[in-house]
Amino acid sequence: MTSNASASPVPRPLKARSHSSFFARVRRLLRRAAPHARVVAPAEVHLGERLVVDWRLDHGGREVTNVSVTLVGSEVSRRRTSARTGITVVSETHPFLTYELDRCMPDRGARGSQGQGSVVLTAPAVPTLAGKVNEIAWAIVVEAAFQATAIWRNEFPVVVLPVRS
Amino acid sequence: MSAPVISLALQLEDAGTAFEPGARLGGVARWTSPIAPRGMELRLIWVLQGKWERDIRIAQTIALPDPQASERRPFFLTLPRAPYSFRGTLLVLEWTLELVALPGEEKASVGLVLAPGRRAIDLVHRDARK
Repeated sequence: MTSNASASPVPRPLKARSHSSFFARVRRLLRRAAPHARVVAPAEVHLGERLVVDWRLDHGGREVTNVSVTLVGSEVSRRRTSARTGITVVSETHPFLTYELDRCMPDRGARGSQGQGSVVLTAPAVPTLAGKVNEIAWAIVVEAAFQATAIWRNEFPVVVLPVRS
Repeated sequence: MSAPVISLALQLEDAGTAFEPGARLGGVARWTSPIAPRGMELRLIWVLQGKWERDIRIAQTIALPDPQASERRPFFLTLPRAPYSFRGTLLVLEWTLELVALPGEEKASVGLVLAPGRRAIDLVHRDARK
């Protein structure tokens, strides 16, 4: 019997890391529509367990020849510098592990694409960790390309928890 | 006038410093001082060292009540399940157990490894697509 405490979280639409600012929305109105992704997955997963991801990409009027969906673990190191004009934060990110979840080549002229992928998070890896300045971050990354040129990318953060006791 | 000299030492059971997450850690704290310290405590700390700055977090504080001037005090604590000790390209996470005398904050410390398999996780050599 599985207790509620050990049950996997229910899959749900995840929020993208980049939120549209007012200016980004105005820019988008003046240009061709950008692709838009919807990713459905549990918001949390334990190391050693399976993460199942459903994804859908609206190509937004762009010609897309390749879509890749990956789970990426990254180290993020930040530096804060204070000046009279305010505090500036410089960050450097290094991906330490990339799991391929899905990959597809949409038909020519397709308006969108979708798929599903899963991966078992092989322990040992490092769970999500947020310090005040430094961070271990995990995200589902959706990337669209036209031939060899990347044209769009977005990240959907997930929380990776330690191996279940 | 200089502060009284206090001698502090931490010794872990079985002389081991590497642990599974959630493991029990036992040891002995020793100190010798001309006068009884006002307080004595154990602090379990992790440090996340980045390329430029570091984060320090006290994960647990265990007070050792009524310290005498010289004492040998056994202790036990349960380690947390995370974060894991690791070494990456930009970040390194290390655990430390400190014995701290109050109010002067004189310290003795022992570095710990907390990770599955009792080995710090090497992110540098996992740098690959799966």
